[in-house]
Amino acid sequence: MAMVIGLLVVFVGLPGLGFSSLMTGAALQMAGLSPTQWHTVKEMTWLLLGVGLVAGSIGLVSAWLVSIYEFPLRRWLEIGLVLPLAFPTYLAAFVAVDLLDFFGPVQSAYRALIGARTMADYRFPDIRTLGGAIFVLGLVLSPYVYLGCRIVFSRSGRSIIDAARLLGAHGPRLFFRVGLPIAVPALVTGLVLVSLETLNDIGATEFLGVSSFSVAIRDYWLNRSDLPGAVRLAALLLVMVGFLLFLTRNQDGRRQPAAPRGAARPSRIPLRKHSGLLASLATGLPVLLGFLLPTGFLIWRTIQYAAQQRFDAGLLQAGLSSLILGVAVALAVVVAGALVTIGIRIVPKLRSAGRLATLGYAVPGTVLVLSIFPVIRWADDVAGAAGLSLALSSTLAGIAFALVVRFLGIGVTQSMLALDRLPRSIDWVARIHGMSDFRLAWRVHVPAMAPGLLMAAMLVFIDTVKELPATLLMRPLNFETLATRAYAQASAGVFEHAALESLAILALSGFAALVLIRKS
Amino acid sequence: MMSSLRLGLLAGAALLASGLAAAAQEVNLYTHREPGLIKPILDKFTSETGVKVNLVFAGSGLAERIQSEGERSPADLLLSVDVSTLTQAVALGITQPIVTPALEKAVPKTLRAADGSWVAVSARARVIYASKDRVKDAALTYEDLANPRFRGKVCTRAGTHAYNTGMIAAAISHMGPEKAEAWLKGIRANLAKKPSGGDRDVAKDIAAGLCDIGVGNMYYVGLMSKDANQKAWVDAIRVIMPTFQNGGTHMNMSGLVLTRHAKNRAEAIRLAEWLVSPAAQELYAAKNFEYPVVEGVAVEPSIAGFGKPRVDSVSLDDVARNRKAASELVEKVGYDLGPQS
Repeated sequence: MAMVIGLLVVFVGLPGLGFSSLMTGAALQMAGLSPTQWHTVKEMTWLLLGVGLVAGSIGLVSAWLVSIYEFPLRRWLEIGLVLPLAFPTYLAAFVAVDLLDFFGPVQSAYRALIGARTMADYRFPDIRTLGGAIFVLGLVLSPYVYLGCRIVFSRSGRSIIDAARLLGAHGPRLFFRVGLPIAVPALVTGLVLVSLETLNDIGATEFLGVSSFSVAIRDYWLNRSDLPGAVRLAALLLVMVGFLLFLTRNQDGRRQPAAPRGAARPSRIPLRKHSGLLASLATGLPVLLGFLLPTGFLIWRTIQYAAQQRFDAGLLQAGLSSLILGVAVALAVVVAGALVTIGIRIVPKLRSAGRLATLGYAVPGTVLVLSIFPVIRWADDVAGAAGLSLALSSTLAGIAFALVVRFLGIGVTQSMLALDRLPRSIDWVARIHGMSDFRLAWRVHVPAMAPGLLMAAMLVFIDTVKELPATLLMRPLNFETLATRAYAQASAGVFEHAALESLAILALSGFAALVLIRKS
Repeated sequence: MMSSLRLGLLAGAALLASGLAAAAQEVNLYTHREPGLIKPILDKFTSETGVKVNLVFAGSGLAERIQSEGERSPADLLLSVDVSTLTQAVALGITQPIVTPALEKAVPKTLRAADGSWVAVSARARVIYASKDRVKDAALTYEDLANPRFRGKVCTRAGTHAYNTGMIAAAISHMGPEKAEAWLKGIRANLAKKPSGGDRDVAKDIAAGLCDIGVGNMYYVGLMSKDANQKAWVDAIRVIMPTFQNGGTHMNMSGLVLTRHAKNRAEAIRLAEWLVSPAAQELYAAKNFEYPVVEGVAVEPSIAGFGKPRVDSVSLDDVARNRKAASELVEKVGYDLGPQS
């Protein structure tokens, strides 16, 4: 228990204090928002609802189809559906604009087809809109929903579905009466992750011209040196996050059914010709639009801009840095997440405290860094006073600390989901037989959490490889990751010149995504 | 065995020596300028002087990082892309004066702080990009951007971006807050779409026919003309060197501050002085298409073709002072919300 509290203090409490220290000297006036801020609130709400709807329906429906039915290319699509996760949102936005704007191949081909020359000759939806952002973010974030729902449909909830099928349920009825209800906890968890990713996004929304809190907060802080204003907006953001977490609180009680041990490979319902093709199309489209097409386009850009690509020692070093940082943060999050989850299992009263761990995931990277700077400075001061030369500021350890704060929520959420499937009666039995807390945790809880921990490790690895704001602002001199190298070109307005870095990001995170789908 | 040990010792000694040498001969630079644009210049500095330049690049927040790092900060110099970042760094108390006879001789007074707290190393003008086909005006003012005849025809990047905030701050200095508000409202009403993307996207959108005019920094025109795909965008536009009515062209600059706790002070000053040497200034002009800050260094020919910017009566310090007001005005007017809503 002490350990849990300790971990929460280090990874949640201290940054939280750092955050509150930003408020000192500034009266927190929650008074009126300006019309522009209201507009931002409105637009963010639409963005959240839209992205949730797109990612939710893609994730849920495709998970259902690949788990229950057999149709052409199903085995490939089942794996491919996780790949859009490899795309950082900012990269997806750049590629989408490059691909879909006036000079992109899509509109050029369309113009050639209908014989148009200028924009006045035809209509084509603009990608740099709220709708465009919903489409882009919804596509690349849909795997968060897909992954969770697929586990329910193909494993943990499988026996219920099979029983319903034996009793004659099929088609839409099977989906709405059986599939959807048992998928609700996984759906909600996935949607929370999608929403948090959307809330803390800065690159994609800014590039696509959508008003976001992240941009507004940065504007207040850096353009106006108005910390109280920035903190007020950040507080508003946290209220939204709190609301999201509130929505999920009831999910805790709904324990998912345990997967029967040694269950046979689930049998799938073969679809007839036309419905089979329709299913291939429905599940193939997200893979095509969310991964194959943009990746192919990036490869084409790499070749086209071959002269500008820097295939040098720096690229390899950046790749290695991304890899090492990703592995280190993933391991740290898994260990910390597991300890918090076990602590909560043993002392259920801590549950709501554990929930706080998710907060770091929701805070925009820049704000998170701001909150962590004073903590790091304080830690270095203490270490310095004790005669230690251990320093966090401007070191990799500092970045790693920030990223663990940021992604701890994934570790806690995933391991909790896994551990909740283990009936509590098993704990009671173990105790009756005189098992100590430690042995119970090590022999029973850890193995039960293992699938969740693996999932968390892969998700955190992917997120770390893609992460930008914290890595960018906290890194040591001359330290580059693939993402920071790509960003440097993108911020000069030539992201194509770093197409190779972008592809390397996709390779690293895509590989982790494949491990994720094969093992879950 | 013996020889390999001796070899190892020798190698170790050499490593140590080079490590010591490196420790004495380096300078740490935090930069808001994209590394791709300054790396060639810094590499030349290293090859000429043997002083290694270590870099960290970020889009924003580096002054705040130096503040938080305090005495431990490894940064010796902060390189910005606009003047406000520098005055903000001064306000945060993280700088020390960077005054040397060489700098005072090379850089004109208007391009360095009166108290020596910052110095410019290159300058840029915020100009109007206009469609070659659809805009016939030979000259335009910044005020013209709000003229109703351009209704639905203007594109810009976000008003919250430093380049636009700087221009709006200059407008506040020229017009006063009320008139500047009406002006910014006028531009908002003229927007063809919600502000998004960067300056290059303005040229792209004009080329696509989405809008007719917009604002952007002049050096992007040079950079775009070197890019195979972006050449078509540049070919569709014409650069108009605007002025404020009764004023000059809004110029901003990329500049340096020396940090308060700089460990490599001598090397930092050496780099600063080198950056305003004729050789470095020629690189700034030729590679980055910027205006040199040193008299006698030629402007790149295609950039010179845009015409000579008229010196503005508003000083860079004034622009920096009005940054907060400009940012607030962008929010008050709802500039980034775009034409409707």
